[in-house]
Amino acid sequence: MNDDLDPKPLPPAEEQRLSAFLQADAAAGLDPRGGAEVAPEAAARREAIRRGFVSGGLESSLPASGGEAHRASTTEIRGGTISLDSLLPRRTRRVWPRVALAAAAVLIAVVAGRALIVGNSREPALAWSVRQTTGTGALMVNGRPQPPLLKAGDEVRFEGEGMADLICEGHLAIQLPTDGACTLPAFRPPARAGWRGLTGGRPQTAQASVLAGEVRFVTGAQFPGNHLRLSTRAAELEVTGTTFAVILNAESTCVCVLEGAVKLQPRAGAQSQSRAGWRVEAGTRRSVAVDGGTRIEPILPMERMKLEMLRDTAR
Amino acid sequence: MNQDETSSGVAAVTVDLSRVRARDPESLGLFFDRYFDSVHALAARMMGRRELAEDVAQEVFYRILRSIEQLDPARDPRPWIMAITANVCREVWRSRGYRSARVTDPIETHAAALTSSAVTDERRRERQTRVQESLLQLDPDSRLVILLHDYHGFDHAEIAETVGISHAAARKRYSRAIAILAPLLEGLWP
Repeated sequence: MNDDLDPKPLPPAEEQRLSAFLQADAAAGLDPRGGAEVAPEAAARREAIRRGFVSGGLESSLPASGGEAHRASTTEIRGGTISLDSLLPRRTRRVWPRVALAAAAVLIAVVAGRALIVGNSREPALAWSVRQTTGTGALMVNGRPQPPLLKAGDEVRFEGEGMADLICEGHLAIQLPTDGACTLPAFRPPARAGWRGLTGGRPQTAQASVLAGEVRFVTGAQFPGNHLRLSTRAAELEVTGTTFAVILNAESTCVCVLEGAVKLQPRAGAQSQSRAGWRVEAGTRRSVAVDGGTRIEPILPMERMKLEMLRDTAR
Repeated sequence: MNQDETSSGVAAVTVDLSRVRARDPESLGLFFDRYFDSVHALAARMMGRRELAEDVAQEVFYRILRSIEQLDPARDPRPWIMAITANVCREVWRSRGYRSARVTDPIETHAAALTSSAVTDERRRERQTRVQESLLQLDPDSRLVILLHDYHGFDHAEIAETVGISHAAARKRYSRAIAILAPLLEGLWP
């Protein structure tokens, strides 16, 4: 909803009359299931759904989301343990420790040298892309209609009705509903798998600002070990892998956490009761006002579902 | 007349939510009978298409079953159920299949089909078709608050709980939605 484009409100009496008219329309008996022509078909479908619901075997009517597929595949991998030894012939097994030691020594030398000289901070930041937009609104980038390429540091805002899902593959997905605005954080290509373990992973710290509205975030499979710092007018957030939303208005910042946890700290200068900040745990939301006031409550069902949807489609 | 309030009184007596939560088949059946029509009606008016409403209703009850542990027996489950319904509608809108279907199958055609067999009186049918078409012209958030308030008997506090906004914001959103709807229905309402 775009509150800046509010139409002139109806006088209360007119609002009540129109509301009564709509309630009469509801009571007039419009059968949203299509009336007599489709009744047998609709009744059969209803009965099939009922049977599935009562027996506990009801299946989803929507295609499996990427998120569910991802979870299914990771479950399979975690569910089984495959020993590398069992896959190798006996002779290879005897030679393997020595070869591994030699290879490790070479790798350590190369990686240490590369890390000292270059490091992945010199790598160009990964690109951002628009996964999808819905509704009639448009994504604005740095105040202009969406260019073909997005880059870290761009200021993005969704104007009009609808929403946009942006993604930095493997690292972070951002959802901008109407009037949501933020800057895009920079992620570098991860160090190669073998090197990352040897060098301690060289964690990255990406930074961004949430500028307006509601903005939802889901971290990706390559994010763990890294950090994301978000700033708003009222607070600073630090994230180490989670699904959460940041909701801003003129007076406060609200953080709703679905998974993981977010460290929330009032901005310097705020008259807060806690300089140390708080850890916002999964299933809760904490709001921090510009004047330092704070409140913690359970996450609202609607926000929980919006975040679950984003997580399931983004991962 | 408020459709939901009438049946809601019945539900309070007949559906034991703690037994629903325990997946007792008989209670699940009563729960389904109590809420299916509300879910289907909201989905049909939100989507403007009967066959999609059936898919949405199935998905809603699938999700209810999947997260039945979240059902709080001490609270009216309608906001929770309607929140799931609104979310599934939103998910279907966002799906590729729905967007491609919209190109060849305009929603207005379905709005007319939705009512054509349900009423016999010509003027009444025209009026209902126009109301449905006007509702479909609203953005989904505005449509949802109108449907919850005027078609499902939710008060602003229940809308706030369903949509996940404050009471004041729910009131404001409804006023805004009805102000947008008023000129679309010009000449129809007294």
